[in-house]
Amino acid sequence: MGLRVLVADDSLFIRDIIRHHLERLGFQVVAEAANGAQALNLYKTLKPDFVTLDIIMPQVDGIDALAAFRGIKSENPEVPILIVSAVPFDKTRDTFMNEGALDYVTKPFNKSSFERIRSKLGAIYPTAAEHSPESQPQDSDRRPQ
Amino acid sequence: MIGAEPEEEFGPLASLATSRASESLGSLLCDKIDVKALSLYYLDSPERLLTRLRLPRRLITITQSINGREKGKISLAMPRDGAPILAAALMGRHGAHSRKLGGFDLDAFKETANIVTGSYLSLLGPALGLIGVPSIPAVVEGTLDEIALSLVPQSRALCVEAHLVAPSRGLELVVLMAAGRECSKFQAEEPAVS
Repeated sequence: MGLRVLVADDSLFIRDIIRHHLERLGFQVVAEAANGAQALNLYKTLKPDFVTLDIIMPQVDGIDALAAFRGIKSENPEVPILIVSAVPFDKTRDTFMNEGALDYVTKPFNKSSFERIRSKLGAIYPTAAEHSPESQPQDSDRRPQ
Repeated sequence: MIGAEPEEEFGPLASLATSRASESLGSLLCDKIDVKALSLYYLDSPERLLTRLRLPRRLITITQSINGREKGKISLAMPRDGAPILAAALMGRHGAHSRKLGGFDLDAFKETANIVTGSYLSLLGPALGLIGVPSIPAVVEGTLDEIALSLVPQSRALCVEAHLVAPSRGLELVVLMAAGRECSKFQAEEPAVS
């Protein structure tokens, strides 16, 4: 079984796309969150191996994406968190990278976006990279990206 | 209309942003996207948008607000008739399967707007004083005269208008970025009103 992933994004459309890419790489999406507060709660409950976090989500219970990021990191400083965003602001990118994000990817995604992430995760979880089904024939992509 | 033509100062950035936006949209739709038109202009009142903006009468807009040194708005607009085509395209289908739009369609439109307008915010935003994090996108459907006021942040604005076309789908989307121009930088650059 691949890495267990929590996907946090307020867009069901984008969560669907991220799930699609991650599952192609052999990861298991164990939960989806639509805001930072949900993401933090789900992280505490499920303790996934890896988190993807959108940075523009509705603030719920006073928790925005950065607060959720810090909350998750306070639970486990080693957990890799991938930041996803539609807006490639350098300052925002720097903020999250300085806080310890695994990487920062800009929407729209493509296959190579997640290939790069898999490589980075392979350094953290060496056995995980061996579980990718990518080398096997795939069904035709439902998603256009 | 007031002020000098803004193409010289902001035109190159607007062109680059539009090029990147068309690439992003093309990636989302898995289709070739053409830039049909790009124009920059000043508005001295929101009502001017009604005569300036080249859009069909009934449309859907997805708008985000940005607050930096200036107030700004950035919108993705499309004809109401084009919305089912876009929805189908985003789901990887060709043609419009239904005229009725569901929550998932609207969610997909919001993310499309986020993605397409991202290049404008990152490239043009700092030059126009719009450096904040954009708000959650809001979807509005109506006639242009009902919606126009929601597309501009204040009475006077610098507008960037880009028309992106997917010829194979007969789909045209319009990006409108409107930056308030009350700050000292713009006032200093603005010639006297005649």
